[in-house]
Amino acid sequence: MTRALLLATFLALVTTACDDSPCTDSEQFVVNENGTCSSTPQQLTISASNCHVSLSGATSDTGLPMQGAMGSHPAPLRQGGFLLFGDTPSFRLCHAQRVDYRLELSCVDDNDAPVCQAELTEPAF
Amino acid sequence: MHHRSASQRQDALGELGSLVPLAMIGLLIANDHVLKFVFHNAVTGKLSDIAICFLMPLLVSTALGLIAGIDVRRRLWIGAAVTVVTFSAMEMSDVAGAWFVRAVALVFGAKHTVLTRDPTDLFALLLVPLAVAYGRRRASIGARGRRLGGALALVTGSLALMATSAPERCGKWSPPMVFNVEGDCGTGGLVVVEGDAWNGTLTITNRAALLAPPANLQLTVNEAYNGTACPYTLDQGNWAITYGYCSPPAYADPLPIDDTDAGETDASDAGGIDAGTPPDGGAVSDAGATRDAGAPPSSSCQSGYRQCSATLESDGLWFTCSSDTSATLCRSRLTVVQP
Repeated sequence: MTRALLLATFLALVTTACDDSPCTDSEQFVVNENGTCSSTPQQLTISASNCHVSLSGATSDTGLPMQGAMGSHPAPLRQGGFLLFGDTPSFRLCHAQRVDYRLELSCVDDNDAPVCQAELTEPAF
Repeated sequence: MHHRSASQRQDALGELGSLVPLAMIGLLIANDHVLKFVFHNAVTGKLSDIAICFLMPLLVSTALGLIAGIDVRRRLWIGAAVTVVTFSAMEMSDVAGAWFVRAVALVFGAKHTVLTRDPTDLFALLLVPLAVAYGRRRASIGARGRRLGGALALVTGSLALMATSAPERCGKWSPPMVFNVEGDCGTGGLVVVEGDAWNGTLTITNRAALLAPPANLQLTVNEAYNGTACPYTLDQGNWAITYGYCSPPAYADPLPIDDTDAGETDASDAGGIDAGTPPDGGAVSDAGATRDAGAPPSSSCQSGYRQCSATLESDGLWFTCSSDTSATLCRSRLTVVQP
């Protein structure tokens, strides 16, 4: 009886530590960037972990903020719905939407004025 | 021999299975998981320390009684020594704090343990000799019948102690909010506000649009969500940015004097104005008047201190900054931008 009580107490305490994050799965894939944000088309890696999104591996300026986060309804990266934002060198906010087979990013400046658009597509192998 | 050992174990558990230690465990759990989030003030900052400094000597003593069968007096003092050394190290040493965080991560898998460090917390060590006295008293009156409560207290108390650092504030995903700022607190424009799920700290991208940087770069910047909603409802306000800090007046000001005679008050105040003149012993009839020389300082805040809060008002969300005298410095209107 004593052991059962202790075990139940321990389990109750341990289970209260579980979190409720909808973005537990990490994902990462390579995309080609085209559009008006970058001066030249290039390849980069987009990653998501714990609801945060990041870009890496670009060889030159992507014209996109390198960090961001999932929106109010987190989904796999390929489904869009995430934001990229940063204020270096100047504020830029990009909203990603899935359109057909690609991700379209619409970017605005701090006056909410459109700055550029980018298309991210997975390279065909 | 076996009978004596079992008897000692029952005694050890009995010391812990009484009302006061169980109440302290309840206080520790309630404070860490509820009160700190609801009130988040100096009292909640100290309650856990008080509970820890009372519980830990008893827990160590009971554990030693169970494992090694050491006599009660010796194990209580060992528990007291362990508590003093561990608690002091955690409060004073970055290295000790880092080791504790690592140990908690290894044992419980908690990746976001946050330790708050404040040397005034060391006053809680006054509870250690009280715990020793309590343990000796419990041992002297015998409390074998409480071994079940003692076992429960040993397990829950140990877990509560390990988890006493700030727990996760909100385990649900709180998406970043985009606001358009119009007003005179900053340059205006879009800002992105994100709340950290673990401690409510905010990250504000393009903060200059919301609030001009502090004139004094030495000032600390504190950005936090203060509401109780989870996920955070940043569009409903309850978040704030603070530049610098204010000392609690209770520590900064002299104790007030119970002045029932208005004439005496005037005299003491008049004496206080001439702070540069040594008090004339013949002229000052009330020694307390010397202690109360001058009015209390009007502000115990750092120069450049300002407190800015996002608050939902009848006509929308407003970001209002005030100084240490509560005078409104600026106001900006925040509008949620839907992507």
